[in-house]
Amino acid sequence: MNNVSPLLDVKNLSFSYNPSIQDQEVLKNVTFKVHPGEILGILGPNGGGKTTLLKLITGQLKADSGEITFYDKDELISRPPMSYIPQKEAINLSYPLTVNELLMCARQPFEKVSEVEVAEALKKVSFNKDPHQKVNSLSGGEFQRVLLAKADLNRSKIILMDEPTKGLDGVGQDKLLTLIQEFKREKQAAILLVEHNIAQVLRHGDRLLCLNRTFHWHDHKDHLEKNILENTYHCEFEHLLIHEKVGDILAHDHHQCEVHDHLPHEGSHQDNEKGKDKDKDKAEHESEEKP
Amino acid sequence: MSLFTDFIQYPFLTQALLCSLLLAVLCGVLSPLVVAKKFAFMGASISHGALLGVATGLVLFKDNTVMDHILLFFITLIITLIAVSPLAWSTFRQRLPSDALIGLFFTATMGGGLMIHQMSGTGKGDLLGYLFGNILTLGTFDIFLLFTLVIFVTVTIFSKKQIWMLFLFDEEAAAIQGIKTKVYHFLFFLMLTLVIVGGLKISGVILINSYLLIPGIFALKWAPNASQTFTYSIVFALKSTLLGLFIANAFDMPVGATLAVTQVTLYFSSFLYKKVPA
Repeated sequence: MNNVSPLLDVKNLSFSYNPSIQDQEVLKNVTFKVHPGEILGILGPNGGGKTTLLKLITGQLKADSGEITFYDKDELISRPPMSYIPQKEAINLSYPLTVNELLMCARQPFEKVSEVEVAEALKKVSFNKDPHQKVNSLSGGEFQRVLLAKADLNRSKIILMDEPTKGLDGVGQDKLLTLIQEFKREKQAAILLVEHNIAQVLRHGDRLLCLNRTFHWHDHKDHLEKNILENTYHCEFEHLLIHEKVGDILAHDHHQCEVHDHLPHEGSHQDNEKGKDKDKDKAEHESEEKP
Repeated sequence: MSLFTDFIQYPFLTQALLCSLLLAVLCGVLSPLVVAKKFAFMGASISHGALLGVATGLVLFKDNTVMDHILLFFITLIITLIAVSPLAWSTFRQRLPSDALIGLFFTATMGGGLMIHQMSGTGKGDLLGYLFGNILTLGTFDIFLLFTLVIFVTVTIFSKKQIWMLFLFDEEAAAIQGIKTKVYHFLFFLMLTLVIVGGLKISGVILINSYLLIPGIFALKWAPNASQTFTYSIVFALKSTLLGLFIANAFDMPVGATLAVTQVTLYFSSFLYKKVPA
């Protein structure tokens, strides 16, 4: 249990793109907290409401009901500096903005950033290339690091990352996520990491939010069970190594989880017992498979 | 020699030269925004939509006095702004598929304009002048108007250049960073409408789009950074205007059409130039 007050507190958040139609909710009663220096891994299938959740947090969408509150050292604040790190494909790649120009805009509309600050921020994220090159010429990993440098210059307290490892090889993914780990420790920032790569989320996230429209589960990653993932993705995981403590996890009967709106095939306690032996066998494979 | 001195010797050509150069600066500043925002078709739509305002204005202010020219400009601007506002609203963060909506707007406003013109019985020449541009109709008021627009647009963009750059690069991230993207979106539409209505007499409804697009396409292609897209675009627009006016005068060609063809030719020539080793 984290005794530090959260940076972000989301309570009973519900949202529908078309409120007039019943049972069309994209999110229903989603509740979770993110503390300073914590990575919240957000898992879920496509169309599960992950991007909608990020848009609600950033204020681009308004929730139908529920609360999103931000805190700074126990004090309620309106909105802390925030950064959104999209995939490279989401930005305007035809615009010839350079790395230097992008980072010099980091504190707009409030203040300007000097070239010295830009150079320092780039050094921190191990970006050694020419800062005068265009952003559209960067690789996916370089792009993510540059945006992380922008978040640093922006003094962001909350960073929202949308599939940052997409298109990166294993080494690139590890490098980037290690950098994110260092960033959250150093800046005591809260990082919301939307990812499809379950293994990376389990390795680098502190807490998890499994999200699929009206179903959600939120807790420390040590409490994740196979059936929760199966309920989230609506499919069976044949070979799944949840993490290094997989044996402990599978033997863990009394995990804490919040499951709202029970799904028809959601694993009951009995189902869990049946599944344990099968899961242990599968864990021996020490392999993973994405849904 | 006379081809060059004509622009000093004949007042209407001097006015045409001044107005065209001012329009080149205006469109040079705005064009990178239009192209980067992927609003190429939007510019064409607004310019055609302006025909509704022009047709209404020509019914109300038929005399060729300075006051009528001023009132015609303002009535065209107001009607175009009113017509454009739902388009601007609906394209903010892509509420509706913008291409379909632009098509609807385009057809409805242009059709409405032609109907009003037909019913009013105004001479065909007036509207044709606005369709393809007519430098003979330019006057002192136009120079003053375009100069005022140059000041407004350049100050609006260059005083907040970094914000505009971020807005063009990633509107979503800009909004999260605290930039009021809605204000900039509507400001962009206001500037676009002002420039189109202000430049109608020179290039006309149909050809002004070349001014709004080609300098920006050139700049985004060749500028080494976002900041210099403005310089590249303005210089391209100025050079192509001077060359276009000279060719139009030399071969007695319509100005708007010659300017459009010159710009396109210069743009494609730039690829050849870039391939020649230094």
